[in-house]
Amino acid sequence: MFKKVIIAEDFDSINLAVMQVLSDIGVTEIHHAKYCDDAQLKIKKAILDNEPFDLLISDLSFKSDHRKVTLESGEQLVAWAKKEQPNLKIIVHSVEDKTFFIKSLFDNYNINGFVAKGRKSIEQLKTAINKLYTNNTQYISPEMAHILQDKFINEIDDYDIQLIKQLAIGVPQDKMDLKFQELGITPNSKSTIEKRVSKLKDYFKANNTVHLIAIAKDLGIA
Amino acid sequence: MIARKLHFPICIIWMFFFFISCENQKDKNLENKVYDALIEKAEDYSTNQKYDSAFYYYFKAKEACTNNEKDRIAYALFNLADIQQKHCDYAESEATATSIIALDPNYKYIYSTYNLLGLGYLEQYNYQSAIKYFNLASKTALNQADKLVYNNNIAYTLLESKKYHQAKQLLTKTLQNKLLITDKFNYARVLDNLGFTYFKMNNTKALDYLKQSFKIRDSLKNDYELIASYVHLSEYYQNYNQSLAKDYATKAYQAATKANSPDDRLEALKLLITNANANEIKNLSLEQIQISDSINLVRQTAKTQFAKIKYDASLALKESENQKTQKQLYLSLAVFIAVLSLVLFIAIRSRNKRKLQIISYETETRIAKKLHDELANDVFNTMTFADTQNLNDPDKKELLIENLDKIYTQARNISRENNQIDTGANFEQILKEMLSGYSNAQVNIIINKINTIEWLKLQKEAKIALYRTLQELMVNMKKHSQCSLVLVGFENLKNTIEITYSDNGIGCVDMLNLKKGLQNAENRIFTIKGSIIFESENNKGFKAKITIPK
Repeated sequence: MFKKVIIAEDFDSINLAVMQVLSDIGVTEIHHAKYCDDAQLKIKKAILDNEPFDLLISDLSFKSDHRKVTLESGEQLVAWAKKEQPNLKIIVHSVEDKTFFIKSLFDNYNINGFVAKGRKSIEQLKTAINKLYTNNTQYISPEMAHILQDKFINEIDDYDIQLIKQLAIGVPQDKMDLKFQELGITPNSKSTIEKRVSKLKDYFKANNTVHLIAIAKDLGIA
Repeated sequence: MIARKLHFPICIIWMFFFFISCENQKDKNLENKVYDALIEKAEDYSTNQKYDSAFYYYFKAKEACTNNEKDRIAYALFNLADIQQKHCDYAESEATATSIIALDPNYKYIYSTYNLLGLGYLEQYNYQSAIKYFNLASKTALNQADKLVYNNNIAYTLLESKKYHQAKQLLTKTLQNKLLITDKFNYARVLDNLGFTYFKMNNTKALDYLKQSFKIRDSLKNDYELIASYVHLSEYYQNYNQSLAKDYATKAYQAATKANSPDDRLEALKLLITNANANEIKNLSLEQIQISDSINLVRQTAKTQFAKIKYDASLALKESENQKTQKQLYLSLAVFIAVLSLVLFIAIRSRNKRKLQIISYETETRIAKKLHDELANDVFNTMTFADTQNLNDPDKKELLIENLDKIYTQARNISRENNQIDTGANFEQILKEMLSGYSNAQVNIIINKINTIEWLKLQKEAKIALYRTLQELMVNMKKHSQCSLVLVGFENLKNTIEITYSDNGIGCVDMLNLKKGLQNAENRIFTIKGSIIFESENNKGFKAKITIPK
């Protein structure tokens, strides 16, 4: 198990809970910091002492108070830590639910895990730590899992609209490639069109093509 | 006519000009910049002997004065009269000069006007009136030097009217004044006049005085003044020494030509003709006729010109007055518009401020209501539950935790609905994710052509309003619609952006109720000058069309 872990978290109750989890799963050395700046100092010192941390569990938002700080948010701390010590594993533990922002943490700072604060966060945290220790993959809370998949957003474009329109006026799907060639719409291969139609069926929850057109009409397309 | 007195008025005018302009300003403490500028222009033309232009500007200057500015009017009138006299328009000159006296009999420099009138009468051979006005001038003159000048004028008039004895007496008296010797020009003139008087009286003293005068004038090197001496000496020698007389006549003609004085050239030519031999007479006579004709022509045209100039000036003045009133009109219009726009600006700003205050107040009450309706109720229920149930029972504990989780989610939702929106480059992504955030196993959200909109060009306020409106529609959808599909379409039109929302839910029977629920969304779109239309039928889904300007 990880030997040396640091927690950056300004709420004592959460701090205690996380520390409990860590000691339950057998982490021997647990440090915590209430300010990002403190966490930064501790990480620096650990590197200098040649006993670097194995894992950082950080919140994102820290309440500002009388103390003047250089790192104001968990985002800044995470960014700094990954640069300073690339092999440091980082789990972000936050109430943040802006999917775009969470995705950007993975993309820009290469964080290793995201655990949403919620009812199941303690369990998820345990799973996350175990997963990150045993292999090098990422962990994300199941309720957020969709944000790392491409199918997260159902977007359609002019091509799809054309396809639905042509189907609606009676062009059979197996003749659609010819029709599209005639109209100068690309790509117009049979397989692409087939894929698109099934994607649309999926999006619109249609059982068949006729159903798809009926739904599309009801929603005001075609 | 010989240059014995023509120079006086001009000299005096120059002296006065500076006096008057200064004193006008000092006395009245009132500036008339238009007048000053016009007078300056007139003086310039006058110095360059462009008298018609000078006349025009003096006239305009006079018209630029109000009735109270008597000194200024008098000065302009004096110059007008002077120019008219120079062009031998004696009647008009006299009328103009008299109008000065009528305007202000106590005018400080009235004596110069009298002198001008005197000179006019002298030119018209009205010696009696001339003497009368020279006397008046002499009496009212402010200083001794001027008095001497006027006395010389009187004496000259007497000389012309052949009252040699009286002229001699006056000149002799004038000559005794010690002040005269300091003024070489006038001293020479008086000496010359006295010499000529003696000559007319056949007195032998004549040559002595004429020579004295000639000496002074020669030392002053003034051609104009020298003409008189040459002419008088020529006349004197006619009886004693023909060749000398001819010599002086030639010199007089040369001096007159140099001084560019056509009248004196004529006079000199006359003398030359008298002393010339038969061969020369023809050429000289022809020249005399030519000069005389051109002088007449110039004076005749000048006379008719003045009337036209006066008319033009008054026309120009009227026009400038029109322009002035027009200018004032424009100015007051501009001021009016400026004040109006300022008032409007303040009014609009305060209205906007009030609007903002109302909006923020409404937001506050909305959040407060939400907290009360959604959170407080659930917290109270959970509290009652914890209070009454035995929490040692694991099932009851599980239920309690579940309830608390629900409350937690609700609190987060309230926060999410009111948190910051990044309107920068990520806006499209954030909007997409906000919309997709409402999708789950039951509901599919489909977004159509969101990338066709140029989000960066859209105003920040519009983006916020649109984001919140769509969010409200989504919240509404989740709460009431029971739909399984939502389509949000974006269309980039020429001047507007059109966003359509449609779902396949149960729709809404009561449109009035619906509008109430989406009142906020409506207000938001109105504040950015857009429009929102709702459309719904029972069991036929719900549609909304938002149009916002680019």
